[in-house]
Amino acid sequence: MSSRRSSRGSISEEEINELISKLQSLLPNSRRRGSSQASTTKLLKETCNYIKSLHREVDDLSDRLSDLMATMDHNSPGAEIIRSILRS
Amino acid sequence: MDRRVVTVQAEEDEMVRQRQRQRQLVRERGRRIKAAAELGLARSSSGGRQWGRALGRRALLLRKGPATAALSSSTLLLETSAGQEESKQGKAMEGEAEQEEEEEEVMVDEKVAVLRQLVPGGEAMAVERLLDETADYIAALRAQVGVMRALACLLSGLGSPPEKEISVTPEKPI
Repeated sequence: MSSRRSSRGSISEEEINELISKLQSLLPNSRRRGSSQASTTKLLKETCNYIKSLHREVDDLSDRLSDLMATMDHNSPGAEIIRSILRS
Repeated sequence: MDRRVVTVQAEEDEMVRQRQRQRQLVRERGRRIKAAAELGLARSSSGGRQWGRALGRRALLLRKGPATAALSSSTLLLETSAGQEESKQGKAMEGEAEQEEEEEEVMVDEKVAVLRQLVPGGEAMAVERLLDETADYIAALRAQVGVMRALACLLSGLGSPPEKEISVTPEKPI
């Protein structure tokens, strides 16, 4: 077991566990602590799902902002804000 | 009578074309908003973050126009592959007693592969680097969502009655 893990790289198992704990603290509704392989699989799955949901939310918000701008007066302060953001 | 029918038909055709142009403008604007958001996200990352540099390149390519968007993924892959340390994955069957552990490692590797696709620049990272970059990327994505929500609320207040929006994360099955 340890020989296979050490062949992955010079990083120690303790540091990997620290990275996993760091990821865990960022996920929603995640207070479970565990360093077993099964929890690693579940953690990675939740991480992937969370990133996908954040991507979808960014897409939805982009569409919503676009719709809001379509109904906006082109000379209003909001439109000016959007134009300055897009120019940046 | 015939001239009136022709006039009505022409007006309807013109309205259809106007609606199509409107939808096209909205889609184009949405694309520009997303590219600007990604560029801002990339700039907000600290200098040492790989995902920030990769995302910045993608956002700039998207901004130049749809013609270059098709090249962004291959360009990104080529750039991130050059000079990046490869992930070493050596597996050896050491007996059926470790069959279950081997299957578990295969599942972990599958999840890591999915994660590589989600994190910009993650294709060629070592596993440890990927985990660290993922944590930073998630924190930045959450900040981006917050900024865009605030902007949407601001624009809603300016142009129309405020819309109540409550986003609830669906419960994940255990």
